[in-house]
Amino acid sequence: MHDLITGCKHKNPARQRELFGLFAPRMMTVARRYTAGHAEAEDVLQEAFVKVFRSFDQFEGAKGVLEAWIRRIVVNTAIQHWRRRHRHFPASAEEYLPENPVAAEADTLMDAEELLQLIASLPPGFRVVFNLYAIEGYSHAEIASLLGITESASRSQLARARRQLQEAVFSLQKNGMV
Amino acid sequence: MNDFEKYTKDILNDHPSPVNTERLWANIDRELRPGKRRPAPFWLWGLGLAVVVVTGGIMFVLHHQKNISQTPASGQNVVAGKTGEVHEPYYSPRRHGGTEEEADHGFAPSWQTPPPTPRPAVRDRPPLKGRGDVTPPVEYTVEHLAVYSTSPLPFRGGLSRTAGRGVGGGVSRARRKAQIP
Repeated sequence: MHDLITGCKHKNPARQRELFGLFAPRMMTVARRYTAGHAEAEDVLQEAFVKVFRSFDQFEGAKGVLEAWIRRIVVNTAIQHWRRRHRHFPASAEEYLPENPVAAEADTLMDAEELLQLIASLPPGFRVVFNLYAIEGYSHAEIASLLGITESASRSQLARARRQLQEAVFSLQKNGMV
Repeated sequence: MNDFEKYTKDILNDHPSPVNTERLWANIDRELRPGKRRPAPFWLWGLGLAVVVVTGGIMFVLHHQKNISQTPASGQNVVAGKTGEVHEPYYSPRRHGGTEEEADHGFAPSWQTPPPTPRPAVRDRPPLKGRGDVTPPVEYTVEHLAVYSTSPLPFRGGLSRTAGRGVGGGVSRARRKAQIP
């Protein structure tokens, strides 16, 4: 891993190719969580790895830190991509809704691909806030700063996303697909 | 964070997605190293060379055939067109309103061509009608005189072919005016 990092710092194409092959599948999952389709996720992944290799001089750390660093770049690139495509939040974003837990049975029966499809079915604003809060672990204040919205709008988006996910899971359970 | 979100986070954090790494890496590599160009394949070079050779050959043959069809045979005052019809050569004086005798001189060598009829001297021509009382020098030609007498500019149209005469038709207008008695 040390050779890999050193080679990437020296812009060695073979080492860069090796690093891309090592992290691309997992980072593709991250990109898919923020986008609606596979092609859009590939665009985000490509743009993110170009940034990774161009700013590799700034990285200092070991393997675990490297993955977290790359993941952060992918998330930031996905958010920039989202901001370019969806400049405006819904007008009713300030409305506060209570948090609703999703059906407990769903969490043990759905696999990763089904979860990704479920998240991809959310509206873009809901999807980004849900990902940042529930999976990346950002606070509402950080999300508000990152997306340029208010904290209450972030809470509202999260509550709506949860309610929509709950409805989707109930629908899948009703149809016997979960 | 509820159980569903914890489960989602755990499942998705280490889940690898299928990705076409070859194609994506090619795009990334192209963006990182824009100056690096892959050489054209061998068959493309061959195809380009073949196109050049075939085009050159066709142009050579067409040019050769055109030369043959436009060159009259010895003692023959006609040429064959592309459709096979026989007609006067393009440069024959008879095609341009000349006489039969002039046409016969069409293929005569230069030393047998009668010398051109000398133009009458300026002083033998009718007087020119120009602006003012400017008397042109005798040694000027008709064109010089016409320009000299009709140009409104102080340098009398001496800078260029069209200067002082207006653009378009200046020579013929000046000549027409010059020939009115």
